[in-house]
Amino acid sequence: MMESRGIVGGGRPLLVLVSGFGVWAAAFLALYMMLTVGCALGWTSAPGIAGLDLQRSIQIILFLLAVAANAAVLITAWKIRQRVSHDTASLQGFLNAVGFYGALAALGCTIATFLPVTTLTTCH
Amino acid sequence: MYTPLSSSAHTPGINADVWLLGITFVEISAMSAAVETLVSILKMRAPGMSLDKMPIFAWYLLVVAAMMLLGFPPMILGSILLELERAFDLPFFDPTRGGDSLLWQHLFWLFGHPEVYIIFLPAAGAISTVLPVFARHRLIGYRGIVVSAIAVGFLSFGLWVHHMFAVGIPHLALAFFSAASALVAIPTAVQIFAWLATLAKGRPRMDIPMLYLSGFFLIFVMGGLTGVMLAMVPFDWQAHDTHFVVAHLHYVLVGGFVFPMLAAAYYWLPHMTGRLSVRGLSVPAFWLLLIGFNMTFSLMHLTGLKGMPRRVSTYPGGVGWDWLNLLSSVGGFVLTMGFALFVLDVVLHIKFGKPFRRNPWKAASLEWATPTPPPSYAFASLPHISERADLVDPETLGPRLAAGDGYLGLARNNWMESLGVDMTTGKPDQVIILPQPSYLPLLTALATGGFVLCLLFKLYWVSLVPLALVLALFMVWTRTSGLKHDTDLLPIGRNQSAPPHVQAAQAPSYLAMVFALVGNGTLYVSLLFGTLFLWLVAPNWPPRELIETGLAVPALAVTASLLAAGLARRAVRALRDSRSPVPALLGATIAHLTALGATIWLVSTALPDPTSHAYAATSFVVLAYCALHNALGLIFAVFGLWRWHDGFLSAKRTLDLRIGSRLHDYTGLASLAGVGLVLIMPKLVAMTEGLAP
Repeated sequence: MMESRGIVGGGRPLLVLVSGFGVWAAAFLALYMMLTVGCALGWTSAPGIAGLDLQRSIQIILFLLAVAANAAVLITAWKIRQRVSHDTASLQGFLNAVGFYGALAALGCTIATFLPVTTLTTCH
Repeated sequence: MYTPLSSSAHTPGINADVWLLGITFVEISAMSAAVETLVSILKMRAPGMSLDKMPIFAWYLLVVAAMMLLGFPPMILGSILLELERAFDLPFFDPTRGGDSLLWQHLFWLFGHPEVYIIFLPAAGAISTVLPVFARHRLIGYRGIVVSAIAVGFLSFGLWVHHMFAVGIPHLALAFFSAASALVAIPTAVQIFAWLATLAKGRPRMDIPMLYLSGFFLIFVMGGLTGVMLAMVPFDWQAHDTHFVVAHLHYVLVGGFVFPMLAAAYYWLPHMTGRLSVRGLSVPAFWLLLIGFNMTFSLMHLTGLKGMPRRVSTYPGGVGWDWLNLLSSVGGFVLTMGFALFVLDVVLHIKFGKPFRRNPWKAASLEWATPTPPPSYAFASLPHISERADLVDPETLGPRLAAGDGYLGLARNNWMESLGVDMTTGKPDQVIILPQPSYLPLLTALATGGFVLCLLFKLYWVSLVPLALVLALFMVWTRTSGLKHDTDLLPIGRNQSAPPHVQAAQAPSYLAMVFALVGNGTLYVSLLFGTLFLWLVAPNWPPRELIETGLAVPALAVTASLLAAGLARRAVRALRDSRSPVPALLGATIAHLTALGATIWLVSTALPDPTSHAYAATSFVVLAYCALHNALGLIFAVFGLWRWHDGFLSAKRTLDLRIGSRLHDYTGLASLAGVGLVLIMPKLVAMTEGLAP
């Protein structure tokens, strides 16, 4: 039935639907902002980690954090999908499916959009 | 309108001001529409319509409204800053005084590219609604389309710099925007394949709206493909500012908006007029439009690739552009004839179209369950939705609703009522008592227009009169809403009952305030980021003078603002406990007054001359924003006292104070962030001193 166990009213389910792409948007903002800050403050000449300069180190760390956050959202969506209602025609089934595939798409977008931080010149 | 060409030195006179003030107020009204749309879709659906039962069109509009809420504020900020520069010489975009014309481009395109999808997605919603009717098959991939619409909504905010690939931004940043620009084609393609699959699974009939949709497929897919080409930075550098871009944008916008809207016009006009169109004209109009459009714009791909720049009034002969432009011009005439025929068709449709009774297309969506043309109240009673709302049977549902066999099929207390529902499940949770028809909205709009005209003609002191009038009219307007007594649960039909919205936990007006603050916050964050952008990127930094103030006055401004927020929350708690909210509201009033005074003192005594440098100009605007919100907080606190005095508030009816409390919260946070940034800026400036931007 539609009103099966696991349904939460209010606006929270809507936030779950957009959380994957929310992470992508936050990562975009953070990476672009820190890139601008680093270029202005000369982080390309400062030492970072593992022999990389500070600018690239920060970009890679932020990228990995974004991938981890997106993966966490995806795993959570997958677990909810396994645990709650298997009735795919229900409201919960709809929320599960849209949440899961939205998170999957967002993870793909995060990798595709920000993978260049590992190779491209940063401030040229 | 790129700066510095649009600054007063290079574009004197009133023309640019008309554009800037016009766009500012139009976009503010568009944001109001976005709030209205968001709240209506989330809180005022038909009972039982859970999220999975929403018509696909509602999903599209939900995404679009959210995009408008977040996409328009940067443009509003940009136009306000440019108007301040033109009117008062505040140098936000003047590189000789620490400004940067790139700030304008960022603010403009941060709005400008989501706007492309804000235009396209409603059209896509219309396609998803109209196409299944003519395919005679339910829409395939409903959930996939919902995910795609959400994905497009987000990705469209990561594309704006593809309009700025040639301005000298670091390669890595270009890669982010290039990747996002290419990625957005995927969810768009998912929608196109879902529509094609629907056609393939159904038994399509080529009626007039479907004819126009076939034109959409042809044109939009071509526009989308050239979009992917332009998303690639090396190709964009070759084609930048050429006619190739002109061809692309017309293929996307005419294909993605005009053709679907023409299909939508032919589909829904009968609903408004009760008549069907004259087929003899609509078919030739389509062919003239299709041929004329392609003749005009497909050739621009070639002129562009041959190097013809855009935005030129003439060009040299003998470089291979002449015959292509001649054919484009001929195509333009054919296109115009097509539009003229469409207009004539609509006029003849309204005058001489064949009348019909209900649902001429055999559609399965709710709007066809009203009489056609629909009466002012739309539905006599509200349906209970137990299946997808675009898979209903209007022929049987319509007469039942007209007979009052639904929710609120009754009249009481001379009220105009509708139902509010839970945002997710669609379960009714309140009776929304709507304001009665009134001229007050029109009068308020006229007074707002008077305010804009005063700004346009630089009558700044006079502008305070219409501004005060707007405020007074808003206050009078509030007299028409609310209840002066507690009410028991109201019967709503189908053996159910619900409280009036003023007694409900989440009234539409409460949600509207939350969304309005989200939009407002986007503008403010854009302003704060803009300040930091100038610090890091603009030439001619550091400024010669920095703010000179101790910590006492800034701390007073922030503390008083935060205190006002706390006191406003206390007023709500007091009211809920059946105690008087007056002491807390009076305290909030005094706190806002104190914060306002302290912020004005900072602006008028501690800041350097705002015209001297972009640093001082941005600090001025940030503090003015904080002061404005303290003034608004003051009004809301006094308004709360007024509502209490007039009996609109009780332990059950706390809505007015809860709405105000969100504004007080926001004001406290805005003051903390804004005054904090102004205080920290001298330290940031010292940090970059000596570094080349």
